[in-house]
Amino acid sequence: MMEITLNHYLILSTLLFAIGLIGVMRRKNLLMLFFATEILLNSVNIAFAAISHYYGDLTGQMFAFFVIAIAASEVAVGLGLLIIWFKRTNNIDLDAMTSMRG
Amino acid sequence: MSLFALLFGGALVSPLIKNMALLKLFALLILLWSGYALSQGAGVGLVFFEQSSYVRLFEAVVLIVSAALILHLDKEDHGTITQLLFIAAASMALLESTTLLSFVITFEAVSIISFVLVSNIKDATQAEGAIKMFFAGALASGIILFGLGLFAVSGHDFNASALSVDDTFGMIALFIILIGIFYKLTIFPMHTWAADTYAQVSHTNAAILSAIVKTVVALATFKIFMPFLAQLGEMPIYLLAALAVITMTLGNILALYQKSIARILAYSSIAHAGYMLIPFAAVASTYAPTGLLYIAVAYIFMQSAVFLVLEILRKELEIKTLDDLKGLGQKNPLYALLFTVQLFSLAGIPLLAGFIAKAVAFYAGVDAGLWPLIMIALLNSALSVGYYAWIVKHIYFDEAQTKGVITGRFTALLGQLILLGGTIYFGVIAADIFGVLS
Repeated sequence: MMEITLNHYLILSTLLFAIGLIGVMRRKNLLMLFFATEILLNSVNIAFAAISHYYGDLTGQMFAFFVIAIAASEVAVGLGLLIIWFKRTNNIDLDAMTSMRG
Repeated sequence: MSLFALLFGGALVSPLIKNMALLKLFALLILLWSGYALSQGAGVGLVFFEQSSYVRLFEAVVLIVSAALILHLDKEDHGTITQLLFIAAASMALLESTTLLSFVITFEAVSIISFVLVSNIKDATQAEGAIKMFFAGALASGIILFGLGLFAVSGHDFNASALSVDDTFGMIALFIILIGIFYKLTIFPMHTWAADTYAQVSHTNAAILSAIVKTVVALATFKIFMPFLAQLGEMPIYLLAALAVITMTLGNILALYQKSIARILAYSSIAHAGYMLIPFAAVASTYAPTGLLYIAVAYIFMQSAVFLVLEILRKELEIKTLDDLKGLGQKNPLYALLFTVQLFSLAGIPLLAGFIAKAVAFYAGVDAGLWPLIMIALLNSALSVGYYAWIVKHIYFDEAQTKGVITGRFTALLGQLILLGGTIYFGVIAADIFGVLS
């Protein structure tokens, strides 16, 4: 039975961050893009919680709470923007944003 | 009374006031009261926040520019006043933050409020600009938090007041955080969203984003990261210098090819982000903080002024492209003059704030021994006169088309005069800014 160490948590966090980053770069559907940014923001929480446990102080956990608050407010604002965009264009595709190329 | 509490409380109360004229008066009174509190030495007044004479001057400037912006607002910009007060409150906190923790949290506060600001949307184009900015901002937040995570992994304390690291891991972490911040500052290669957003959102919002938010972030970043930048070796400094060169050159060259005035100003804003990066690279010089402060002060006045004049021109005369500007000088000499002076200041014509700002920043670069960087920056400055003068040529020297006369409101004109006063005052009297550091 393998023991789960700090490294495993950090690797998980980095993998999630990479998934989020690739999602932001590659996805065309705005809702999916939005989920990708959420994965990106929340991946960091795992790292903070693990580090906090490893060093035995609470700064990391405290910061994880800040990150949750930041991510939550970004969800609120971002979903609002998406709804406005959808109402105007009936479309949530990134390729529809062509009014200003070049 | 605490500056932050004043502005924040004002912002919380402001949605209750339905009458626009009353609301404007209320916001102006709040700003005036904050200005008075500031002159009495009030700051944010929380733990991890500290005021110095360096940020006090800039806080005063932010309050003045916010007042000028509020004077410009229309009936339908009801929410903008609330958001502007929130941005002012968060800016004060960001400017005074002393540790990485308080810096990141207030930085996020500023960026989330700017998302709310751009969500005040009237048509699909503005929605597009807002969404582009949102995703760029969310990605930047992710990168900054990831860097902060790395910083914590390497065993550093982000409550430490002076940012100094001696291990590679911590250095990489701080560099990742800087990359995230550069996203907001529209540094190459993260500049693409800015050109669209600044040109697409309403010009008033573009003024707030590209003038207030950008300068506040630049100044606060420099303040926090200065000890870290100062201990860097040659390679990272050359990297910063290269980023500065690419950003300003790209901004200036792309601005030359634009037809829409808003897009010219957006690219000019990217070019100015490049100039703001010079003091970052020239951190070895003792003039670097003064240089950045001067650029920030000059830029906040002139950039908000040009976007606000453009808003008036768009609203009253439907002016959007360079061709629409023809004959403005004959029909509306006052607004043409206001626009021209601020454009000349952006270009760096002497006796205006933009000139001394560039001179001080470039001198800091020379002092730090970055000759090639400053040579390219000077060439860029000359290049930028090309498109600013091209706008002025359209205003004064082209045949007039049939255009109405602007019947602008008195308050908007007053706001413009405040901004004009700032541009001229800091162009003539430099002692105020040199004084804060000596």
